[in-house]
Parts: sequence; C-alpha cells; structure tokens
Amino acid sequence: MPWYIYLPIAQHSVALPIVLGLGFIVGLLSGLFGVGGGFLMTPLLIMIGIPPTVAAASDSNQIVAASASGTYAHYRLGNVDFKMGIYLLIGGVIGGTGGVQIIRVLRQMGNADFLIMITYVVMLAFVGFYMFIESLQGLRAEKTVQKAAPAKSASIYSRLIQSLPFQTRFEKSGIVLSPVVPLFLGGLVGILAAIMGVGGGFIMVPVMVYLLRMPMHVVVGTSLFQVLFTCIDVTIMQAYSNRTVDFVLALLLLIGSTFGAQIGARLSTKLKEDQLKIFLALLVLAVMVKMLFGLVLPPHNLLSFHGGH
Amino acid sequence: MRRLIHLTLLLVCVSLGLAAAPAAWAVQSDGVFIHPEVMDIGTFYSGEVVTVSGEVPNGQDVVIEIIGPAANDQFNIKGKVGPFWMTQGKAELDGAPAMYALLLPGGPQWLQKASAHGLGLENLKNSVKIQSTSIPADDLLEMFVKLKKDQGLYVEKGNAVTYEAADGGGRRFSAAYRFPRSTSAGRYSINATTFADGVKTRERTTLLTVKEVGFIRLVDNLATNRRLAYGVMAVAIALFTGAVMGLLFKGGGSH
Repeated sequence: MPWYIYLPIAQHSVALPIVLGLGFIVGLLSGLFGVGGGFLMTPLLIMIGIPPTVAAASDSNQIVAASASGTYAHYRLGNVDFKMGIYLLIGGVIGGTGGVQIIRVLRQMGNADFLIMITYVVMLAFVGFYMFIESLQGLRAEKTVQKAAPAKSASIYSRLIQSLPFQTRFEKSGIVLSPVVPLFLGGLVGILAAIMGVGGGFIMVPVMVYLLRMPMHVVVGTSLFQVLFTCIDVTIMQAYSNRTVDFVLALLLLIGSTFGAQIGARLSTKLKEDQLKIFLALLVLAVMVKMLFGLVLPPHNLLSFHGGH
Repeated sequence: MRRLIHLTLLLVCVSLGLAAAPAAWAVQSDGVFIHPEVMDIGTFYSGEVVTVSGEVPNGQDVVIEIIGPAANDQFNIKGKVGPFWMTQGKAELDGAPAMYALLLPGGPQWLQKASAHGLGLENLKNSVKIQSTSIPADDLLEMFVKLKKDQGLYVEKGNAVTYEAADGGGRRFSAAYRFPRSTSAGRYSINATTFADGVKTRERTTLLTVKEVGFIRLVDNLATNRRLAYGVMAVAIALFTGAVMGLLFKGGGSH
C-alpha cells in the first residue's frame, strides 16, 4: 500500500497515516465537545506543509462530514435541539455577514490582525477559566447536596430574558425562552466567528451553556448542527471564490474525523456534564496559551504566507 | 539493384528513426540529457529522482541549476509592537521560481564561484519583482529564501555532480536530484553551466515537463474550471461520507 498521496490543490504529497490520524483526533474532539475543530486542525495542517489558505478551506470541508456524522449520532441519542439550532443559525448567518464587513473596515484601518488575536486570547482566557472553575466547583458540590441552584434564577440576566416577548418552549433543551435571545447571541457569535475566521463552535458551546442555560449534552448536538451549516456555506464559497478547497485532503481528513466523531459522541454520554466542561475548558486554555506564545515569542521567520485562520 | 534496396532500407530506417526521435530530442539539448523525460504527478506521487548527464572536456566542471516555473506569492510580514509580534505589513514577490536547486561539483568554494557568475540563490533578486510595505527588498528576499529552504523547495547542494571518463576522451558528468513532495506541475528549466579554470565557458539548457495525470488532473481541472460544481460536490461527498459513517456506527451505543 502506498504511504503517500498527492493533494492536487495543495500541490503537496502527504503521508496517509498522519493525515488520517489528524482527522481522527480532531473528529474525536468534535464529537466529544460539539466544536468544529477548525481552530485546532488548521495549524496542524500548516505544520505538515499544507498552504494556509488550502488548510483553512479544506478543513471546513472535512468539518461538514464530521459534524454531519456527529449531528446524526447526537440526533439518535436525542441530543439535538433543532428549533434552537435554527434560531442560532439564522442569527449566525446575519452576524457572520456583518462580521465580514466589520473585518474589511478594520483591515483598512490597519492592525486588524492584532485586534483579532487579542480578542481571541482574551475571550479564550475568559471562557476557559470561567468554565474550568465553574465545572470544578460543580464536581466538588456533587459530593454534597446542591443548594445554590435556585439563586441563579434571580439574576438580572435571568429577569431580563424572561421579560422579552414571544416566550416559547424549547422541548429538547427543557427551557422557555424568547427567540430573540438565540437570534441575538447567534448573531454575536457569527460576528466573532467571521472576525476570527473560524466556524465558531468553541464560542457557541459556552454561549449555549451559560447564556442559554441549555443542558450540556443537548448543547453538543445542537452546536454540531449549527457548525454543519456554517461549514457547508464556507466550503462552497471558498471553492467558488478562491479555489482553495482540496477535496482529496478533505476526504482523507473526514475518513479519520467521522470515525473520531462517532467515538467522541459515545464518550460524551459516558462522561459527567462537569467532566465534559472541564475537558473543553482545558482545550480552550491550551489554545489560548499557544496563541499567547505566538504573540509574545519571536517568530522563526518574520515572513509567512498570506491566508489561513 | 541490391545496392538500391539497401539504400532504400537505410533511408526508411533513418526516416523512421527521425520520426521516432522527437521525444528523445526533447530531453537532450546541446548534449545535456535528463531522465525521466517527463515527470508525472499521479495520486501516489511522493517525489522523484531526476538525473542530469552529459559530457565536458577534460579539466572542465559543470554546475547544474534546476529552476521551477515562476510564481506569484503574497506574504504577511510580522513586526514587534510593545511586547507583541503582529502582522505589520504585506509583501508580494513576483517571478520567483516555485522550486530552485543548485547542484555543485565541489564544496563551499564552488558556491562562491557560481555566485560570482550569476548562479545560485544570491542572484535571485535579479529575476524577482518585490513589493513590500514595511521592510527593505533585500531583507525580504533573505526571509523568502529561508522560508523556501524550510519547505525543501530551495536547495544549494555541494559535491552533487560526479564525473567518470567518457568514451570520446572527455568526462561524463552526472547529477541526481530528488524533486520534493511539494513539486507543482509546469516546465522546469535545467541549465548546465561549464567552467574552465574558474571561467564560464558554456551554458546549455534543457526543459523538463512536470504534469499532473489521472485522478489528480481530473480534480484540478474540476476545481479550476467548474468551481461551483466542485464546491457542491465536495459538500455532497462530505455529507454522504458523514451519513455512511453514522450508519456504520449505528447500534454501537446508547444512552
């Protein structure tokens, strides 16, 4: 069996076991946490010699398969809130379109990349630390009787979202909420995702957990559903506008990632909610530290190919 | 009569030989031979060795250059602002070869000799058009060469040309170079420059065609000429594969 395969758009030959392995690992995280994995896969692909623009676009293509597989697996487990997912998606598409315009203006003003990176690091640090500490407290409290839960309902945020019009019941999530909330939050995530150049899964998950108060297992399935549609849009746009989707690379990655996503989805049901959150928090913090090093340590070469996340 | 038949047969043989010759003639130009004649990039391409050979008079040496098709590349340039490294400018390099290899007959002193005669990466600036918003062109070129060397696409290799006695009394030279895994299709120029006592005496050039074949060519054509269809197909196959994998795993787990 040949160990190398040539990628027609990347114009680079890659070792089959490495690409399949990368796909598997990222798919596993995708199924486990409901994140697309773009923020992790693209740098890994660049490390094995794939041009950044091709890495980012082909990654979106493979996330379509991984998230389709993951969404299907979570759907069978009853973990997808389609109603919530559609509202978030509509908000995300509107926010994403606006985000593209914002980033264009920022780039014209100069130094947009720095702003993006700093936003990224601050957000990841905030989300990662908050999620980690909160989950740790949750795990500790589990051993004793939980008493503090009712206090949350009295917060200003809770009163605010309860006062919004068109309150509707989201059966799968077991919550009553105005559609304005997921539309608005979906829009915000869309803006951030467009500015950062990623699918937004790892921002969407904390938003669903902490702001929409959805149960973690439903969050994962619903996030994957939303990521699926975002990446379908990105793949078609990248193939049409930039000719950067390497179908062969995506196919190899998705073979690995769909296996990984299925195993991840099963693992997610075996872990406790707070355990899942802690693992995701650690992943988010690891990415944050890597980005921070990238900002502070001198680069190996001041020149880098234009493109990528 | 017999002579006439022999002469006719000879003419037929020569004609057939000439008719069959173009492929062979295409690979040897002015006494420089390359093997293979055409390099195919297929599905399982992982680099391939190309051999360059020919003859030189005794006492003369050969330096070989392999120059890939000219490319246009865009780059980000990082700079330090306060404690942070961030993108501070853009650069565009037009005309730099996608791949470059300089194969020398000896050690480091040959690199200096070749450079003095316009060969090698030092002289790249003569053929490249540079547009940079934040750093001088020479610094940019140095970074570019470093980047390409890291990718294995730019190489300067000493002691890479070997010699043996030729039948005609001169020397037969030979150099083998393994094209990297990230080779792209196009026409590669192979130059053999002959030196006698440190003076350039002769330049010979031949062309190597590198082309995509089979499935790789099909995908490339589709992605280039039918972009929307290609994008939709990529999504459809991803969805199909995701669904198939989902079905394959069906029943493997439960709440």
